[in-house]
Amino acid sequence: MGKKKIVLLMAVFFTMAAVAQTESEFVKKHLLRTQGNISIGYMLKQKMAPAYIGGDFDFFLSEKVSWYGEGSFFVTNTTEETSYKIKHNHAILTGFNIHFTDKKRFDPYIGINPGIMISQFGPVGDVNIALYNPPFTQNTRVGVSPVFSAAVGVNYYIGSIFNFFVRARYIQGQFFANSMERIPLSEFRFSAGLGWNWSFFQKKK
Amino acid sequence: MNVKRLLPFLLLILAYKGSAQHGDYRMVDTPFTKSGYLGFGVRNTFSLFNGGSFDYAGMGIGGHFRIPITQRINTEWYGDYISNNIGGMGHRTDYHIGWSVMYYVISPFVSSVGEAGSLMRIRMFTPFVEAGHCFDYGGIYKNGDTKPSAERWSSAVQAGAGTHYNVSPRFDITLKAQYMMHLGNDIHGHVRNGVLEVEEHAHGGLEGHLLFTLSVNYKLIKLWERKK
Repeated sequence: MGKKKIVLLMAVFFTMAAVAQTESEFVKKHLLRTQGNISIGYMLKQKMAPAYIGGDFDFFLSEKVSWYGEGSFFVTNTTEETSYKIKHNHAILTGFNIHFTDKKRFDPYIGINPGIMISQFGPVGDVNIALYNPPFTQNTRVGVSPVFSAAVGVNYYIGSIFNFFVRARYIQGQFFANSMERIPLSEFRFSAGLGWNWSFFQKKK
Repeated sequence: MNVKRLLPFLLLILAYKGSAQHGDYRMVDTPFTKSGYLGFGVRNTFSLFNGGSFDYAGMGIGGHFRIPITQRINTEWYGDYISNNIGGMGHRTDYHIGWSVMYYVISPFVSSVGEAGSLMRIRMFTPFVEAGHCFDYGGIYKNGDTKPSAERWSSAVQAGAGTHYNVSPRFDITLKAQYMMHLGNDIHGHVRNGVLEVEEHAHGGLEGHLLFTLSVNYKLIKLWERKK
């Protein structure tokens, strides 16, 4: 996707958010929103597309701000592995999301969610070792890497229990452990699906 | 994508939020903002080590809590884990734990009289200067090694400036820059003629690095309340 398209999408998002500044029907203080899903990533340097299973939560501290937490578990790589193989690439992220909720169902948001990646990489095979000269000839150690992460997304509340969501996330980090080279962890992740609303923390009127 | 490419994105967010507000202030809905409220935050710290070359830049994750003492003075207690690249041939790991005192150069609050009577409002941007202390452990590794080629414990002082962007009275995004100066054994790594050289000097030395920190923060718990 070109830079212009990304800017255009962001402009649409923020315009939508700008007209959505009144009280929400669903998003209220102490609402807990959770979801579990499969997400797909795209590692920018490696041009590989790993798949993850994961879950996250938003706990609304006010109608505008939620505490966010996410865990994702690397499952498989969906594209050809050239220079090396991903053995582990799990993430734990936390932070806050800022919501621009409208008075009905739309809940667009942006978030800053730093965290850690737990990663391990290994060689693909003898042929690839000869071809690509990977930075290691056997599996690296499992390493913990600090990462920056920011997300933009939209929740759409279809009732008091369910919501649909779409989210794009960018992750920036670098892996060292005992690799002979720095391995960039820069990645875009996309997820969408069904989420749950839990209102039992909200005070009854 | 590197850090430089993220900056326009962040600026766009700030510009949007700035244009979405009516006036320069936000209304304070509770008296919590004066002092005594414990706030929590998570943060990314970008470190420019070893002479400030971008090749040697690092990034870390951390967390902190804040306890404001007065309207103009805040304290921040933090921990960071930072991982730095050294010319593509080595890396450096630093663990920081410390505290800073922040002084708001202009009062974060202004009084105004509206229809509801006298109100206290918080400014959208609250710039500050800060200084503090830090303890740290650092290790330099040649890529491929599991044990550090050099390591040290040290204490440090840091000072800098930044600003809160108050999304709401309770929630803020903070961007700041600090220079941190370590007092301890001098360790450093640099690439010369394609070879990583790690040096460790037993004498005490001053070594500094520039830190940029982006954090998101929420004021959560009231520790004490000011008597009227």
